[in-house]
Amino acid sequence: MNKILDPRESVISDRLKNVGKIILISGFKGGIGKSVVSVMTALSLSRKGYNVALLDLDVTSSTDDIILGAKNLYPTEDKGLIPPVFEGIKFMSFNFFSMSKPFAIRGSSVVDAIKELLCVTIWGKLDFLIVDMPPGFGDTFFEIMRLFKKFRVVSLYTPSPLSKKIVNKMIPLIKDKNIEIVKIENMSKESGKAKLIYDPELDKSIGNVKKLEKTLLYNDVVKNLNIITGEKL
Amino acid sequence: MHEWALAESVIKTVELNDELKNKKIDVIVGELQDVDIEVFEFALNELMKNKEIKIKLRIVVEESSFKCNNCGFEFSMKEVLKRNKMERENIHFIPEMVKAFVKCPKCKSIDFEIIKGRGVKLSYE
Repeated sequence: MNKILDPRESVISDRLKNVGKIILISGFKGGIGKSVVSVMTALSLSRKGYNVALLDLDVTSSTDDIILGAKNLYPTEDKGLIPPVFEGIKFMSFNFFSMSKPFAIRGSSVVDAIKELLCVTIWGKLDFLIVDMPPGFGDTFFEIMRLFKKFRVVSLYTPSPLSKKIVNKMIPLIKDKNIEIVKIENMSKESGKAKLIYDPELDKSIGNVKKLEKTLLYNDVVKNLNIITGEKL
Repeated sequence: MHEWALAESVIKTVELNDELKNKKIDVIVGELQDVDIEVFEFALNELMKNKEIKIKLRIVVEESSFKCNNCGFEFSMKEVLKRNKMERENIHFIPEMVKAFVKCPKCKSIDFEIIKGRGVKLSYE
């Protein structure tokens, strides 16, 4: 019986070799603002002049393009796929390929789709790669831990005791010397260190970058960039 | 030229795995991914030349088949070939996208498996 090898994995670390830092925006519960915070982090880093990319890995429910108001984007081909650039951000999303049609797949297919995208995406030189993670500690998280090896996790939680409980339960599972972890409270009652305020006006800015940049949340993301990135910017 | 990126993954795998040295390797290319074999073969040869790797790779195209998780019906690439050029292009880049565009021809479920012929893999003794 012949042995079978998946060649895609061998090249993924090469694709990421010129990426300064990978930051996963996670938090394990749904609806806690991972996508909005991912987009705002990428946007604020881009505005500060950093080379930044945004990867929406919420495979079946990608929304970063909707938050940004990024329409009609598609990668170009040059010995791989070159992500389109929007507002200075190199941006990659499964929505480019699903043509915004419903895309519902099982766990093993999620892993295959992620590996395929990481195998063929040519990121080039980046200071930061911001990864918008799906909710839960499942296939995507396990696969990313295996493939990326070294990264920072921003674990968002909300003031809800349920959200705090899940974060505190999950964080010990990802303790590794190559993984930095920081907890940040989103939808907080107040602004502050490692706190991003709840902004009741946020929904009105979705799809419009200029409006996003004027929100209280964006202001807090900018103030907390050192905590989010783990760097003195 | 996304075929170049796939070829790079093949050559990198050969470079990294001593087990593959002096082996007859089949590069199995899934029908679903619709790889341009001429371009892919050119990229493999160029990369081997650049890295001074001398190994015989045989490209084998594997037919695709699908099985519905809902009703068990098995179907072929014929369903994929009915899709328009842009949809097939997206499947070419990410084969799982077939699930955004194709449904089980019998029960119309979107929940089906790619049984074989998905993308690129290496087979050796």
